[in-house]
Amino acid sequence: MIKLTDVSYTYMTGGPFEKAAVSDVNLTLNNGDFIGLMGHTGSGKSTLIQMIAGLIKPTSGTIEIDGQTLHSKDCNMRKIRFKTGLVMQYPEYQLFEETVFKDIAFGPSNMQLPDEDIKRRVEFAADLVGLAPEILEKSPFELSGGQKRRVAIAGVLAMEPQLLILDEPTAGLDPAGRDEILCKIKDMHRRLGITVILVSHSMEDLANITNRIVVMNHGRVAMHDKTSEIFKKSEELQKMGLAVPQITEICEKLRAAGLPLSEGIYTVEMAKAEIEKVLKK
Amino acid sequence: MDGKTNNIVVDIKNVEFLYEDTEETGGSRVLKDVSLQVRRGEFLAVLGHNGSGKSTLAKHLNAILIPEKGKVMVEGLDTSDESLLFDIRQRVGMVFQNPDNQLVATIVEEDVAFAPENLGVPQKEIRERVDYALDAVNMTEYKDHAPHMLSGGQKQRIAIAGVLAMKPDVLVMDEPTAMLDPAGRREIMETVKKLNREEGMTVVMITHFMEEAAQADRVVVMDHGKILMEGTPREVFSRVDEIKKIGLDVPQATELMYLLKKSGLNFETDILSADECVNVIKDVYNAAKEAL
Amino acid sequence: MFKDITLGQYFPGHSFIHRLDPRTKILAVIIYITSIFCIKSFLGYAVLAAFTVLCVLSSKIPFKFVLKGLKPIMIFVIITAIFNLFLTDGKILVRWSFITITYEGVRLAIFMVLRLFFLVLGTSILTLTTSPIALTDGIEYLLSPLKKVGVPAHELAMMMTIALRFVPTLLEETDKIIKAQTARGADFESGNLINRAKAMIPILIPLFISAFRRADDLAVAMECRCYRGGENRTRLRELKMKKGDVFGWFALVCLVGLIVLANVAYGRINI
Repeated sequence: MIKLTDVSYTYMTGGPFEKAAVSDVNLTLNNGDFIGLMGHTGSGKSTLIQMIAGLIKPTSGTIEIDGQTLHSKDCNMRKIRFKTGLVMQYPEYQLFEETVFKDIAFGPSNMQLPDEDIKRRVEFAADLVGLAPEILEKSPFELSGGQKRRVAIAGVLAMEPQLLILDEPTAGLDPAGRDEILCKIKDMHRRLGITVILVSHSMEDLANITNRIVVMNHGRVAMHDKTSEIFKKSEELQKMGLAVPQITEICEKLRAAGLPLSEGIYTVEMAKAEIEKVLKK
Repeated sequence: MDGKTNNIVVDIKNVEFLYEDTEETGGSRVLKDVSLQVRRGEFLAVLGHNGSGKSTLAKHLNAILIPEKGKVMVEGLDTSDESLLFDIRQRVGMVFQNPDNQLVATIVEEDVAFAPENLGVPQKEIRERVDYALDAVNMTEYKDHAPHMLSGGQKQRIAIAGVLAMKPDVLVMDEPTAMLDPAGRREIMETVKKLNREEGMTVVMITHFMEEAAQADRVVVMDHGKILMEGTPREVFSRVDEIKKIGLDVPQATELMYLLKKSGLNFETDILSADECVNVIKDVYNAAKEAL
Repeated sequence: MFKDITLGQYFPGHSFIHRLDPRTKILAVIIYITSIFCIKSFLGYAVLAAFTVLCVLSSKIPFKFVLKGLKPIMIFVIITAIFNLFLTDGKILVRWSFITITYEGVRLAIFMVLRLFFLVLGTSILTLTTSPIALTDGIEYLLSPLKKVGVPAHELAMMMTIALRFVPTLLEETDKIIKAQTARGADFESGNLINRAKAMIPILIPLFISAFRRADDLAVAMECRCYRGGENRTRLRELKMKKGDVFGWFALVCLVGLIVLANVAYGRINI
């Protein structure tokens, strides 16, 4: 369980450019959930995940992960970081080793695991993201953009974290690449049973794979609920400048026109099933 | 020049190109016998997935790449003639994906002035061009700012202004929104549409976002180095099967129509916007209710 | 840590000093620095101090802010002072066991401290009141007569501009890479010197690759904007000497004159 209590983060405290990125966030996330974190640029979502990953320290408030308070005296931050895996935006820019294998092994070798353990983890992680075994001996720099990104994600997965945080893992990818990555992440969540936090601007992406969504706005948590509940509040979301999926908009308008559709439809398949039922009656 | 050729700004004739770029693609990328004409004043979108050859095609438009076979003519100028290089580049302005990597100067205004300075434009005219270009992208109030303090969308608008200051005939944009957030993407689309409509600027936009292509006058879909489809967005996106097969998206409204049609309901798939879709379904629903 | 360094930082404003032509300011600083090392007496330094104070006052930059620029060089100043104080031969002032302080030592130590202070203050005033881009322009103009003897004035200025443009971008990138590798368990803090140097590899390699990629992109973008070197290039901002500059030069001539007088006086009355 991840528990945030009154967490705030201020940039450049005391200076003339002081700016609160996150203010008074209280949030409890359960283990095993697939959580979508949404909000526009500057809403504080990046700062929030960096705090959860233990990379930056909250200006005030506490973050507890499985009962351990981050940055407290009896908390080994490096060990905690092995438990939470953070995949940053454009993670392919962090690759540096000669071979894909060595790069994925960077995390596990920092954990000082025995060699055979590292090998097993690298192969497992590569398989999870769908990298063929022969790619492991290639240089990461001769791969395509989508493949590089999968190597970078595997590098985090090889640490076998209990909590996986991905910051816009589909940024810059084309629709096919995006679907592939999202499908792999969904698969990972199912196979490993770990907690996943997926940060994205795209509600369409989140709609299909998450079971809970947290919406950030102006550094605060504006909404936190089941995915299906969040899409019932399409008006509020639009007020925050977040675009709801086109399909949600269509169904809301049809409902307003008197069609008996249920609230909060967010996938094309859901809409198709309901409209079909109504029209074929 | 007769009226007909004058209406074609860029003429791409049977272009073939072999692109060895192992770092990006892990193999060679090819253009296979591509022919395309860019018409004056149009907003043309080139849609395709990564590696479809769309960026390679874009780079042929202003002589960054020279075709191995075939010809690219810009306003009657052959891109393979090296002596015409700067005439061609001044006519075809190019904006790239990463806004950070195309801004040169430490002050917005100075950056926009970069191209006219290179062209040796007199000082007074540089001033006019810079003011015009910043106004066209709605960034005048940021003229004294440092680029790194701006948002992604703002930086990209400065990049567009920097190209407009050359007074080009065509604005070619190679995935200008791929690295931006939704707000930035909207800013760029609004700017581009405004330039196209109000300034009559010819725009070629390379993208893999169907939402963006749907706003163009004409869409060209590329796959495996070939032009697969061409037509208005309505024509192109109604072919849902083919688009999905090559790994691209269609608008959700179109997809809904497509799914309903497949399950036996009588709908057409040439629908792009939410409102069109709502109206069509509403009419069918009301008609059915009255019939009861 | 970085925010304490004011040397080389621009303090935006519209004061008389800010509006001076960058060429005037660069040449003035060169003359100022030369005079620092020509002064032979405390009277000369008093003249220089008065001039410096006048400059800071008319620049409207808070004194505190200007003086902050001295902070990073303090240790260096103290070491220099100590060396000069104890290691100069001459008329003995104090002798205590193995330590001797001479009259010349005291004098030299004070002189060195003053020289370093004025050196930093003078250049600080230049960089604080001149935007990097104006500075680059000024350097380009001043070096352009040397083009004939093969000095690549335009290229040097272009390099400076691009470097200034990309420093913030690369700093941000470094921060991101450090965070990404920290999240993968990289340890930058423990171990001996060699281990720590090795720990930098996962940061430096991605940073270099990124810098090269950016350089590549930028080169293409510049070519697309018809960049072809400094030949036949015009400028948005042509540098022009204005009335203020005439006054600036007059003040500078006065300064040099007074310092020369002070030096002559020193030869006669020896303060």
